[in-house]
Amino acid sequence: MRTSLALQRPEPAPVQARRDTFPKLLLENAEQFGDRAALREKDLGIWRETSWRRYGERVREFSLGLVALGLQRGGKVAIVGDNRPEWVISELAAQSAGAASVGIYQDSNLTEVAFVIDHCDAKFVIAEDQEQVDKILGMIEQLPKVTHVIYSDPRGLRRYKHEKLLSFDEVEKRGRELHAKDPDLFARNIARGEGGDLAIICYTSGTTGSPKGAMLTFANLLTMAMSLHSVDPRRPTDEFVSFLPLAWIGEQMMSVATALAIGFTINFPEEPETALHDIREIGPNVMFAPPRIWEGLNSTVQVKIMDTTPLKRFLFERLMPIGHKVADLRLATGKVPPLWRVLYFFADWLLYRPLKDRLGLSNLRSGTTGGAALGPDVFRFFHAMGVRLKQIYGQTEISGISCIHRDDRIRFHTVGEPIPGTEVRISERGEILSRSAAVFVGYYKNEEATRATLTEGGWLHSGDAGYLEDGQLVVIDRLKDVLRLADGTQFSPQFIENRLKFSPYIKEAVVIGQDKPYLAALVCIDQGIVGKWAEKEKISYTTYTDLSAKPRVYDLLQREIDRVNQTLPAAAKIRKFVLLYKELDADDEELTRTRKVRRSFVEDRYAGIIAALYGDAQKFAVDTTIRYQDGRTARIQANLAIREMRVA
Amino acid sequence: MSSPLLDVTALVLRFGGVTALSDVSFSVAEGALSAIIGPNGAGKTSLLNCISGVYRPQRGRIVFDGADVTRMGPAARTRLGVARTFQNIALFRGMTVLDNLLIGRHVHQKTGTFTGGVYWGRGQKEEIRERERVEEIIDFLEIQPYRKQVVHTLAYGLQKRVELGRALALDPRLLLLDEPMAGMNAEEKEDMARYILEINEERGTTVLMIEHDMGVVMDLSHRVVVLNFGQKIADGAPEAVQGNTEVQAAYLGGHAA
Repeated sequence: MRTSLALQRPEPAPVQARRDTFPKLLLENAEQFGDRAALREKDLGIWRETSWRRYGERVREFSLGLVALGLQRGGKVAIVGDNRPEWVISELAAQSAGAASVGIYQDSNLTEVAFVIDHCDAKFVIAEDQEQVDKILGMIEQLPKVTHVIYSDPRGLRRYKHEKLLSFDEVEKRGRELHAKDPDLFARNIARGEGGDLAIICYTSGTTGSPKGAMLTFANLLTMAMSLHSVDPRRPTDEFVSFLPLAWIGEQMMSVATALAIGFTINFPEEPETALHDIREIGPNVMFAPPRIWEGLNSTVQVKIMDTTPLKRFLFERLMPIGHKVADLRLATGKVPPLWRVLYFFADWLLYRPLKDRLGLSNLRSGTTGGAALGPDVFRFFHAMGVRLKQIYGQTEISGISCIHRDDRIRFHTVGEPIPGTEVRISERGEILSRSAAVFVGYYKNEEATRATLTEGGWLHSGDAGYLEDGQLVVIDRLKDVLRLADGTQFSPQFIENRLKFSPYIKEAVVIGQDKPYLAALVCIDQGIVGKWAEKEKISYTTYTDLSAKPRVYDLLQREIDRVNQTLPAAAKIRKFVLLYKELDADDEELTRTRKVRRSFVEDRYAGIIAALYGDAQKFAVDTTIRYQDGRTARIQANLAIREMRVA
Repeated sequence: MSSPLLDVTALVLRFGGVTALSDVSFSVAEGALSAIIGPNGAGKTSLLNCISGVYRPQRGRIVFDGADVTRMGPAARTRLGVARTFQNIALFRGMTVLDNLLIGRHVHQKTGTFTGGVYWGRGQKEEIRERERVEEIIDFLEIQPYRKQVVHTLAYGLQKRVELGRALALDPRLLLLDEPMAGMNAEEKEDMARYILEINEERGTTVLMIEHDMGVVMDLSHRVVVLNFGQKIADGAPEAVQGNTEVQAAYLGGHAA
C-alpha cells in the first residue's frame, strides 16, 4: 500500500471578487434574476414560487426583525425544522445581520437539541412548528441564553402563551417597521460582511462524547461551491429538490452555498414523506443524496418489476443486461462499439427512458452520492440506464467535499479525485489528510478537538484510513477499525469482508491478519445459491458441511475471491482461505443479533483452523460438536481443505 | 348563555317491542366537545342516528340551531351543517382520497352537470375553489402522501382519518363521530385525539362523539352523557360522571353501592 504519495491539484479554486458572502450573493441574484424562481414549495397541493426578488425581500424583513429584537453581529441563530423556505430565509437573515446560523437536526432528541442550543450561545431559536416549539419550551429553563423562540407554522400554537414565543409573521412585521424607519440599514449590514466571517456552525454527531461544532466561513463554503462547480457544473436554470436535513453539510452545500453562487432553483417537498413523489414532479437536474436514497430507488424498481405484467418483466430482464454491458464498456474503455450503441438506443427508448421518467430522473445531469459507500450493483444499475452516478467524499470540516468522481473516470470502489484547490495525502499512519481553502476554522469553543483535527500546515485529519490508486482515493474504513499485518501493512477486515460478501455465493467472511504475515479468510458459503449452482453443475451433495468441502465449490469460491483480490493492493490480498463447515450463527454467539461478526470470539473458536491457515498444511481435520437450536448436539468430523490463492 | 346548538328533548325510539331510547334529553352548547358513553347496546349509535336523521324517533324533538329537524331527512340536515363519521368506515373504497373528499364538498357546489362538466367559466372557478378547500383538509389531517391513493389500499387508521376528512369537507357546524378511535393503535389514537381537539379548538366546530376509550373521553371532552339500556343515567363534566355510582354500576354490572 502506497502511503507517501499525495494527490495534488495545483489549479487554485476560482476567486469571487465582491461576491464573498451569501447575503451579497442574494442581493446580486435578486437584482440579476428578479422574477425567476429562487425557491419553490409545494403547499396545499400546488408548487408555490418565491422569486429571487421576493426571497431577498423576505430575508430583509426577517433579518431586520431579528435586529429589532436584539440580534447582534457575531451572534448565533439556531434553526430547527423540516426543509421549508423559512429555514433558508432564517439562515440568510441571520447572516445578513452578521450572525451565524446553526442548524439542528429536526429528529434530534431533547438532550442533543439542548446541548447544541446552549453550546452555540444562540439567543434566537427558529422552530418550525408545534413539535419543535414543544421541545424547546419544554426545556427552556435549561436554556438561559435563549431570549426568543420563533415559529413559522402557527398550527396548534395559537393558544400558546409564553413570553419568549413569537411568530415568524410578527418578526417580519417588526422588520418592515424598522425598514421603513431606516431604509439603508439592511444594505449597510450586508456591506459590513466579509468572506472570512463565520457563516454557519455545523454540529457533527460524535459517535463518542458530545457533538462538536465545526465553524465554517463564507470563504470556506464558497470556495467549495465554486471548486465543485468547476468539475461538476451547475447552471442557473437547474432544478434541485431539497429533502435532506438542512442541518447536514451536504444540504447546506447544495441548497444554500451552491444555489446562491450559481442561482438555481431550490424545491421544497410538501412533507418529508412525499419527497420521492415530489422529485418526480420536479424532475431535478442535480441531485445529491446518501446511498440509502439511491438504494431505495433501486429496490423500488426491483420490487415493482416482480409485480408487473409478464411482458414488462420480460423486457426488463432482456434489456437491462444491454445497459450493464454498455456501462461496463464505457467505464472501462471510454468507448462503446457501434453495435452496442444501436442496441442501447433501442433499450433506451423501450426501457430506460420510461424507467427514468417513473423515478423522476429524466432530467438528471448530475447525480451524486455521499456520506457512505454505495454497493457496486446499485452503481451499475444507475449507470446502465444512463444516470451517471458519481461518488463524493468529504467531511463537514472541509465544507463537505474533498473528492468527486470525474465523468470519464468513474470506478465504483473509489471516491474519485480531489476537487480543484484541494490536496489529499495519506499520512504515515494511513490516514486520509486533506488541505484546501475550504477547510474549517476550528470547532466552536473546543480548542482541544481543533488541535487534534487540524494540524500544522492546515492539514485536516479525517479519521478515515485510505489509499491512493491511479490518482483516485479509496476509503477503507475508520482508522480505529483498521488492523495491521506483522510487517506493518494496514488493512481493514470489514472493508475486505464487505467486498467478499458482494459475491452472491458468500454468506459470511472473516478476514484475519492482525500481526500475521499475510491475510487469510474464513468463508461461509451461501447454501441456497451455491446449492443451486451445484445442482446445475450436476454436483451431488448432502449437507452444508459436505457441500462446502467439494473441490469444485472451492474452485468457484477461489474465482470469487480472486476477483476481490484484484481490487485490493498487493500487500492486502487474501493469501489463503478455508470454507467453514458450518454457517456462523448468532445462536453460537459467533454473530451479534444484528448479524455482525464477533471477531475475537470467532478467532478464539476457530484458533486451530487459523493456525493451520498460517502453517504449511493442506488439510485440517475438524472434530467438533455443534448445538442445534432445540438443544440437540451433533458431532461433526470433516477434513477442511486449505486453499492457497495464486497471488502475483 | 345563548340557546344550545343541539337540543334533544324526550326522545323515544322503538324497534318493534324493543325500546332503544326512552325519554332521552340532553343538549350540546355551541363550541362544546361532548361525548356519549355507555355499555354495549345502551343506544349510543341509535341516538347518533336519530340526530343525523337515519332513524325517525317515535316521540320527542330534535332542535338544531333553533330549527326543529326531527322530521327532516339526513340530506337536509347535512345542508344545515350536521356531518358524521361511521363506526364502520363508509367511504367509496374504489376511489382516491381526493375524490372521496371532493364528494364531501358536493353539497356546497352550485353549478349544474353541464357547467361543471365542460369545466369552463363558473364551473371551473367553483371546482378550483372546492379543490382548495379539500387541500386545506388534506393539509390539516396530514394525508398529503396519500392524496392520489385509492382508499381501500390504505391502512385502517388512515381510512378513519380520511373519513373524518370527508365529514370535515361538509363544513359542518356539528360533527358527529361514531367511535373515531375504534381499532386504532396507541399512536393513531394520539393523532386522532389531536385532530379532534384541533377541529374543536381551532376551527370552532362543535363535536359530539361516541367513544369507548375512557382515557380519551375523560381527557378530551367538556361534557359526558351516559346511556344505559336506552336511558340517560348521567350528564355532566367528566369528573362528576366518573364519580357517579350509577355509572360505575352500569359499567361494572354490579349493584349501586
